[in-house]
Amino acid sequence: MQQTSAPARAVRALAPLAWIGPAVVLIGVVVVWPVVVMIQSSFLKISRFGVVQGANGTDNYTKLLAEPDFGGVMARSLVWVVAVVAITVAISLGLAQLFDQRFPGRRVARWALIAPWAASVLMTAIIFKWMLDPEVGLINMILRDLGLLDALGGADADPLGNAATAMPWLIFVAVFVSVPFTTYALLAGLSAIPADVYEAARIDGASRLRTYWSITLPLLRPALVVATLINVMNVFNSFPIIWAMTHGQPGYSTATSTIFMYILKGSDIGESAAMSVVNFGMVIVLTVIFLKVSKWKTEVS
Amino acid sequence: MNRSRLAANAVAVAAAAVTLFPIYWMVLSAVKPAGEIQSLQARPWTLAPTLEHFRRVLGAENFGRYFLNSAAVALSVVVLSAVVAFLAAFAVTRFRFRFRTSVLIMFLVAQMVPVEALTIPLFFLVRDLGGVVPGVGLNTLGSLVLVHLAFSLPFAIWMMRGFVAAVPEAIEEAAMIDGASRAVILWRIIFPLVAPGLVATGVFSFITAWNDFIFARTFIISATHNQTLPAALLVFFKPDENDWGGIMAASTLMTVPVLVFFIAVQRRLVAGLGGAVKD
Repeated sequence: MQQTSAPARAVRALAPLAWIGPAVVLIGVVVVWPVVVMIQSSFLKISRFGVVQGANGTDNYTKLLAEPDFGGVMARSLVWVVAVVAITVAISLGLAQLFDQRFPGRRVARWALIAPWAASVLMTAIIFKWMLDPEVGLINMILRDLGLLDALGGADADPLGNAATAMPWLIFVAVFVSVPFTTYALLAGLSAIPADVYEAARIDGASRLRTYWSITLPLLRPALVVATLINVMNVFNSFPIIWAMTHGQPGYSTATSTIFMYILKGSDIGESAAMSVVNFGMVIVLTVIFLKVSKWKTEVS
Repeated sequence: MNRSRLAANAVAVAAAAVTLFPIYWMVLSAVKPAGEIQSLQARPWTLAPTLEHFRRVLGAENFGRYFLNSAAVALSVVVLSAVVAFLAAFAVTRFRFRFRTSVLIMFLVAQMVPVEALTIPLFFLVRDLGGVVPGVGLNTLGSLVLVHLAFSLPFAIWMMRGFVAAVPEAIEEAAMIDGASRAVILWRIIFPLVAPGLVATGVFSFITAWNDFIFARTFIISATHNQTLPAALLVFFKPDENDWGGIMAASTLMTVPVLVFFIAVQRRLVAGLGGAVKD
């Protein structure tokens, strides 16, 4: 019944291009092309001052893999992303559940929760670093006044200077800045759950825990998957927190892959590019694993 | 019931206290006299609030200019990103075309790129682009708009997808039968329905552009009049002794407008995120 001429069909085939064209061109030129350059330069020999000295085969990768700290950095990146995301999601699930109830302080509490999100991550990290300063840090002063710390200025008063305490503090700050978005995403998910399913559960006499486990969580899953996924990508690529607070020190004990990549940039740009490629590959692998595990595809269709 | 309500309130107050503390400390340090900031007996209040740090920050060269630059960049990114993301989201939800899946995968992958890894290629890209397209080269605010716009798109499109998908196609068809043009349908019917999503994406692109250090430091190398706010902040970091009063006053001036804006759209934010997490 429908008869379309060849030109009309061509116009129709090209129509989506007009809509999606600007986005594709922008992302293609500004995001994808630099990624291609990054991958290319990981196979080049580049001087410290950025002069390309020719092809380098896979030498940059061999050198990178031979770095004594490489294994530790990769393992730490995994611990970092798993710890930060898991703690963030656990706290956010609780907070979202709480903020979904009606109680007098709800509005103000919701406003307060936005604060770390609106503030610059870099500034938040700098403020925490300042509060942990061995000489004048507020947190150290509180610990001293509580009798938990003998004196300011010593090694005990320098949690960021000690590998064992620096990492937990970095994780704390990363969780701190990730919780607001995650909680809001989960709140959005909760508000999409119709009230009558709860009503039905109540009539059936289901306990609260049971209701949460069998009704809320499964219905919240799409929101949970998306929020977790975005966190995995952001946390894995996160740079300002660790850079501002420890620079990856002491040694490389708090360096994740992005920090290591940045440090390498100062000595060998080609090797740094190789690290970027490895980093990028890791994010993709993590994302795919996550999507597989969470059966995202089945959720969508 | 009453007891659980009390517990909810207590936990909410505790959570609010923790999340607000760094901001509180920032504002407090901004109004504390210099002597008190350096004191080894830090108090969580001050009896002698002062505006000296604010005066120093606002009196510093070009702070107002940097503020306006930041605002211009962030607002341009918000508007452009909303338009481009909306069009793209409409295309991927309403049209079936070849390479549709590839395009979607490209959007997802673009979201995973660590920007710190790309500063060198981006520097050369912006330098070369500047030779072809005036206004987006090095040292221009246009370069910041361009790069932030591109990096904000994947997430924005992803968020908008849910909203566009939720608009029943029957509405568009009905309008089409009534003789409305595509543009009218888009502007009068679909746009209002996806507005909450645009608010949420706008918030996201605004804060990344507003708080950005890395691109500003990469592209704005010599044109000091085109610096943005974060650059104004760096002035107060000194190798010997950081000027904490100045840093905190500048950060306060930088954070408070965003916070107010955020709180103003808070309700829409929850609705807006709904589109992103629905799928």
